[in-house]
Amino acid sequence: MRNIVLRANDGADHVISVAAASLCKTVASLLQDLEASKGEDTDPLIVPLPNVCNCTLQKVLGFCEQQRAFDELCTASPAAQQADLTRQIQAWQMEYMQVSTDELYHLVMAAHYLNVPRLLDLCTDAMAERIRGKSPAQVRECFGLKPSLSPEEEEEIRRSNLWALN
Amino acid sequence: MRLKDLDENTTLLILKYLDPKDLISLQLTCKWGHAVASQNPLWKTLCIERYAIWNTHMLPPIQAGRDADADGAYSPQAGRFQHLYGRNNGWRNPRFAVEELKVESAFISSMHTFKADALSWEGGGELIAVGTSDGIEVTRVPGGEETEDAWWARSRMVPGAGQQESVLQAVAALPGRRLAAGTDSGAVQLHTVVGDHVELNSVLLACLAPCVDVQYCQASNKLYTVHDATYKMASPTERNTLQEFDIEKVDVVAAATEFSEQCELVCFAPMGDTASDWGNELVAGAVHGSFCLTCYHTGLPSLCYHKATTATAALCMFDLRAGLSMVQRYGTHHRSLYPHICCARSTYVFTSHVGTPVCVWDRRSMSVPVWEEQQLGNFSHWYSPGMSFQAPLRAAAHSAFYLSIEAGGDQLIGRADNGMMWLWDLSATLGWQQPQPHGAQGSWFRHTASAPWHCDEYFSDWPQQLGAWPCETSLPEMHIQNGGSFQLAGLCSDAFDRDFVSFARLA
Repeated sequence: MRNIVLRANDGADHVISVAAASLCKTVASLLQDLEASKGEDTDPLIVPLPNVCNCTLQKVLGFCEQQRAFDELCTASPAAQQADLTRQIQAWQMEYMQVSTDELYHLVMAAHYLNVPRLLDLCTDAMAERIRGKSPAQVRECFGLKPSLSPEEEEEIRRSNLWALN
Repeated sequence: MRLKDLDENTTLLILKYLDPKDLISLQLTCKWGHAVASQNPLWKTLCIERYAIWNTHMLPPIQAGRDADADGAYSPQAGRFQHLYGRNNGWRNPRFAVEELKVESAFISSMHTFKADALSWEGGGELIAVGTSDGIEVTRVPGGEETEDAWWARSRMVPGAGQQESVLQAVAALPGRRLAAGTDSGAVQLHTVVGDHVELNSVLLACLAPCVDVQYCQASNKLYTVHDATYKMASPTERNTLQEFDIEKVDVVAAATEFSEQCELVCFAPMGDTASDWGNELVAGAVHGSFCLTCYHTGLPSLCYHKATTATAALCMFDLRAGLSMVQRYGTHHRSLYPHICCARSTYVFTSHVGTPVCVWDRRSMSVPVWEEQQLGNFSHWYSPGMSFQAPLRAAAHSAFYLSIEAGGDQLIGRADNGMMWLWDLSATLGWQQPQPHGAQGSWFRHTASAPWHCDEYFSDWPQQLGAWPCETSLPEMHIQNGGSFQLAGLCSDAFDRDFVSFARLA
């Protein structure tokens, strides 16, 4: 079976299985195109990823490998154990998302670039969680935003959205 | 790296998880936050969730609309779904604009809309009488074009002093600033409007079964009530009764029960136009007296469909000229009957049953219904998991409707227990106003093969899903009328069980 090597922007190589790589739609389509043009080949496929740093790539690959393992477990488990397994997956995902806001940005970008829908959903939800229930000042502080609205503009927004602020 | 550096699509993916309050919080952070959190696609999704319209594929493209200010200039907010969401106005196209009437009382139990001129009430316009825990409250709904904020003036006539001990289950307006109300104790109360207060004048107690409907016939100056004993699980010997009151003598002049001992009357409607010409007959709906406890506890025992197949519902004709005597009785092929029916054009009777949302009967040929709307597909298809109002617990909650028809008889609205509303264009469904190419009237039995969303024909004989008003009551009362300042009025309740009346204009 062909090996897939993902090369981060600092040159670090990571070998992953085809099953795990298939979770990355970008890599999967690249692999498909290559097989269509050259047929079955055993040479390792090296995929350079100039937009992804080594640290983030490791994290993404960790997700892909773990999800593949969970998928296999889900297929093999009887229906009675599915609920238990779902709880297990959720707990793992919660722990996986214990990252700094900066790391989360990079994960979102990588998930988007590599087209990993499940990771993208997880990351965007985690990002939304950091906004949820916060005041404008707290959101600014969390995401490093600088206030650029004039007091009049702010007042206008508040006035037209009284239904939500009361 | 900052949040701002993410591309627009990724930002939208993040923001779609936020609720309106969080989006507004983000808008208040900075100019970038305001721009991204104001995007129409985000708010359009929220509007769809809020107004419970998921099958958007069957509707024309949804537009936020362009709303004129009071001075005629277009508002800078126009065309924005956020604006629509915040104003609680539903869809401009093709949904409805909504105004709410809230009362001070603990709850609202009934409502009745009427035209002041038709009953010689001073001031003209449209009025709404609301039966509350404190008594009857009357509010004027002025006609003509109003600004949206002051759509109806709050010129109210509120209940006078004194505790209202009974629940007013039905209200009707009488001539000369008087009102009648049927109570859960079976009494019929007569009220008079004095100044801006509604005072209780007299109480008639001729039947101990709860009064569930009250209607006034102007032609004969009589009041008709129906008393349903099943609501109180009364003794089997107590029959449901249809009563005729002389409001001048303040006395019962006639009473009737179902001809068959095992069946009970649960509702009635005049055969003519309710506003002016009642016709000479009443049609009353009856169901078999048996019902299971499960259906009883869900609120409407007449909707029980767990009876023997022979225990069918019936339509009974009463002649008003012959002292309220039953002159004909027709069995239906349904076991259940929604306890609210309506009539149009002195000959058509509309009923609703579990599994058959609308059944149309022709007085001239009652052996079979002339048209039936079959069950509205798999109802779970119409409700998305993210819906903001309660899902139906059983099929009956979705497929049996409180029916109301407008005076012209062309538009029929059905409202389900959970608030979902459907509109039938009867001119298309029954074909009575649709000339055919060869000059003949349209067929009653016509039903276009394709759904409108398949053949680009919006106004068709298929029912249109109007959306929903949140509704917690067991009888989701609503009225439709053409012209005037509103077309729909319905009893609603919010998430905190606070009752109010919603008025809507169909866009």
